[in-house]
Amino acid sequence: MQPEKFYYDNKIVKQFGIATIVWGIVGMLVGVVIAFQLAYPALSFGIPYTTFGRLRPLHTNAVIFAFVGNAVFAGSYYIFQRVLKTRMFSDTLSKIHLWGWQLIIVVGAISLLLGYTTGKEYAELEWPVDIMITIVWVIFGINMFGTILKRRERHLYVAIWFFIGTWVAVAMLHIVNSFELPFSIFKSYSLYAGVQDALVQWWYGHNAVAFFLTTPFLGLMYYFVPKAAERPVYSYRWSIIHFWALIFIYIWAGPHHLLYTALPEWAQALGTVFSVMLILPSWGGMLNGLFTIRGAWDKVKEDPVLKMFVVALTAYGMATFEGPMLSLKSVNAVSHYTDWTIAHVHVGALGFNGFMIFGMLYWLVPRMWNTTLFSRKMANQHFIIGTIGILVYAVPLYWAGFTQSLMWKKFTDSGQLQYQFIETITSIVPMYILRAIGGTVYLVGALMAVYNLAKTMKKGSFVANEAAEAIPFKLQAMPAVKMHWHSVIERKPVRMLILSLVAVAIGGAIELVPTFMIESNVPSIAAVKPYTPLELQGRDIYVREGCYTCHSQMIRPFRDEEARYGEYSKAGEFVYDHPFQWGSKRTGPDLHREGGKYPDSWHFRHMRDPQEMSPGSLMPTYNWLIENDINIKSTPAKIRAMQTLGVPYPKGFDKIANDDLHRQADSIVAGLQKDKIKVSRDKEIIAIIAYLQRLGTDIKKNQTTSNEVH
Amino acid sequence: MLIKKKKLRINFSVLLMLCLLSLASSAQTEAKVPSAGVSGYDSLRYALICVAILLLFVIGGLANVTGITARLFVDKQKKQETSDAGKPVLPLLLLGLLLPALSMAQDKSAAAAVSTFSLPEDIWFYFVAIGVELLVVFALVRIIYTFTKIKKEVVAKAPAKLTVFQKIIKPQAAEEEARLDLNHDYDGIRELDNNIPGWWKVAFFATFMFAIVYMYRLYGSETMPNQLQELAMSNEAADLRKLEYLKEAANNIDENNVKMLGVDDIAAGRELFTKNCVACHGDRAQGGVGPNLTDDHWLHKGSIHDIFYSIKYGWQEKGMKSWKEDFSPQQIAQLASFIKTVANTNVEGGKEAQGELYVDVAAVAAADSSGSIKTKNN
Repeated sequence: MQPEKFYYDNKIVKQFGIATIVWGIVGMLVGVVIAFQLAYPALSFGIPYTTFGRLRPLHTNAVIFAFVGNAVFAGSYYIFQRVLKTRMFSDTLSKIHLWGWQLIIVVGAISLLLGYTTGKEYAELEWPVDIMITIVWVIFGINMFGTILKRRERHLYVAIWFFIGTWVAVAMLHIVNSFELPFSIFKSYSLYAGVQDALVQWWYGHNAVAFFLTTPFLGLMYYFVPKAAERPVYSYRWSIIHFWALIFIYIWAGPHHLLYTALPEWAQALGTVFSVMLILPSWGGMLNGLFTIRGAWDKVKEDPVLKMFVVALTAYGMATFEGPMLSLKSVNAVSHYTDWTIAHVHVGALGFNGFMIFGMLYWLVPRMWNTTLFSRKMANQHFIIGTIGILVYAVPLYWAGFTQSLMWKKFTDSGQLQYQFIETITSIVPMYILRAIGGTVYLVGALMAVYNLAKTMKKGSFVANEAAEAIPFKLQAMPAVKMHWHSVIERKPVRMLILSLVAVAIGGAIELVPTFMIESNVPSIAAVKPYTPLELQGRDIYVREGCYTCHSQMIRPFRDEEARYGEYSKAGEFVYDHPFQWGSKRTGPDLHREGGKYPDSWHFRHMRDPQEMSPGSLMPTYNWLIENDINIKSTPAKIRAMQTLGVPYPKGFDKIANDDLHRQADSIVAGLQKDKIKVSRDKEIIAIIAYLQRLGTDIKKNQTTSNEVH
Repeated sequence: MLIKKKKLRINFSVLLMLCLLSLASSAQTEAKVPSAGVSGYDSLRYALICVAILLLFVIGGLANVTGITARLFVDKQKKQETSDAGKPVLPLLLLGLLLPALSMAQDKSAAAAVSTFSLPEDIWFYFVAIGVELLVVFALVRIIYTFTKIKKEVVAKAPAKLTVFQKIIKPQAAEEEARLDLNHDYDGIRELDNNIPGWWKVAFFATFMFAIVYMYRLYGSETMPNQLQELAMSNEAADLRKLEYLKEAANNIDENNVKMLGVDDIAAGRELFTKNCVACHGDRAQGGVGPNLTDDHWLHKGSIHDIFYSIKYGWQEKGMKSWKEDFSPQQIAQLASFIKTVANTNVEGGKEAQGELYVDVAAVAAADSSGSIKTKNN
């Protein structure tokens, strides 16, 4: 019964930790930049790489996958080794995981700036990066399970359950949502179209929040909170019930992102009720954490780590109560497409994720460098500044959200819309400025953390390999007392993995399969035809520029939206939309029935200088569309890809597609010429005008048109 | 005895929940009758407001009592200085002193909610407000109990029953903790086997009930409208409101009966023009994307009736959108009147003429009869 000696690998934790800090600052900085761009569109500088449409995906991807992702890996590698009493399964796999993930981040960031995007929120990275993510995720999984299998601890601690759940669910979500058909080395079309694409995407999008931003953080919470408080976990049986309830229920809630859309209503209803059922499992996590601090509240007064954890858990509790409320139809009717949603996610991101990460780093760094924190006072100041930052960020955005939504819905007594769209946006610009200031304040706090942690590292000496010892669990005697029934599962990691997979697969399957298999869920409309080659090129430009980050293409069946935008959107209108572009936020108006609203010359001038046509607009200029040529070489491949996906272009159409493209372009050029605008037919602006003029017009046409592409 | 009491409490919560649910159902069912909607809500709405206001008074009274008991408690604490109860109670005390202030803030926000929302959804807001108020009442009563030590006598007999606040703050007694310790040791982390709070279980169960009732009402009893029915209902209600308004307001102007308006309305028309039309027609109506409005040529004729028509219905194929959802008939008349005043002024830098020469016969005749202007007669 000699205990075995071994060493914990601290180096990998350190490297992931440093990556967390670096990408955190980058991600938040981009966030601050785009926040200011929303108030001052001139800050887009008139170049493609710095416009909101491309920077916003960069911001979300950077904070979710780079900042939070690296933090999860840092924390979990630290926790795995300690609660499983072993070194990581393979140092090589750890290294591949580390550098593979950083490579993904760099390649992803560059490709997003260059405009390579799938146009699906939080899954924007294109197919080569998707494959890289899959590979690295599998490597992480092997390393994690290898470690679990060679553990010296008979039972798995609750933190490990959460990491297993995370790994399984993220793998499933990423793979299913990334099914796409490449037509060039960097570009692809989503395998799904319209309503189905929307459902898959938001099943993914919602559960990326659940399984990338929430469950791994509960894993971190279950280690670092009891450690920092030096108190026992409050209730073991609560851990069990809230873990299983959380991962089972979470997966169903995705459709609450699509309330009042063309998604079948039964799916929407499931989204609503499962969101409401999520409140208590979420609160179970928060309360089990806060009750764990019981008896250590005197420490909370002084210890910045515990302070951050307390605020993080509180923010988690608030966000997970607000989320279900936002999933109620009557609340969602007001909140959706407004800044309310943005405020909501930032309470979670800045409050819960941000503060958990900073708290964790303030706890980890002094321990791994075998010293004390450089300045506890500074960390406490960071806590206060960060909290103020969150408040200054969130409160104005809540205000902006209410204001804009109420203005949208306001009718005069005689039954007209009271406000033009532009008035609803100019009235909230002051709130946007305040929000940007709030974000800056939070970033300043983060920079203080960087300084403080760097000084701490300098002060101490890093322990790359930390000595530890434990008895192999096969030699340990089984405890004599009767154990909880759940401990059986905790002894069997593979069984736990399978059960987790079953728990997370059920909800998705029940929602996705009928939407794909049963035709009545997407009633087809005969008048809806595939896009012409020019419109298809224009649509790809629309996706490339990230127009969906500010414009929706989904008119909800409300009186005000029908008055403002036109007839509500039908499921059958999106059957050729690979990917769907419904959007989730209206900083600009909905575009689903944009076709025919304005003349071509209006669009031309509006793209060149939005403020000329729409004074007070927050849209940046897109003048490069006037200079860039359409990539007509790609047309045949795009048509063929669409044919493979089931879009009914005639056979051999790919060969003559460019002739069709030129014909349509010529007619647009001729029309513009009448309005004294000279532009050649091969410019991108022509394609985007063609696409915008097509939007939402099909169902207005007579149903007599032939089956051919017009 | 103790078990019985617990059961009773759970039953009470379930009852309360069912009451709320049934109330909610009735509110929504009434929503289904569209024309009667407005008045149908009102009785419920007034009842809810009354309850909300009543509860606010209750909160106000309780808050005062809390303040007083808190002060008394402080005095008592000062007397028995040796007591070790000071630490855990302090935050509670702060809360007690803060709550009167908090409840005042609550008053204000509830009042604001009452005044701003006139949507049918406001019913839900009242429910939420009342729910919050009930929670506050509950919390205040618990706090007063703690301060007045009514609890203490019970405590002396039965094992300690702590308030939620104490539960969060006060550590469990060492022997209690030892009893609950599961002897787990994960890198030094121990786990206790505390019971899951009863209210959590009840609330979790309540959300299941909510889900069942929600799905039943949508697909079983069909008492909850689907989204297209909701749209039809809101349109119907809006049409009714509009009809009512138009009956009274002098606003039912259309392209047939529109008349040239006076100076004030023309000024209002100018303002509307600057806000909405200059993008296409130029800041001096000289034309741009759209035609010049200051010359004597018109694409769709230039009488006040024609201009009213063009603004109201638009000429979609030529890029002029329909403005009838944006402007009231009165506003369209103001705009048309303003445009009539700039027509034929031929501002500098105007876009070249489009359409046909148009002579406003009515206007010319009016001018002729007044004898102020002599114009070319065709």
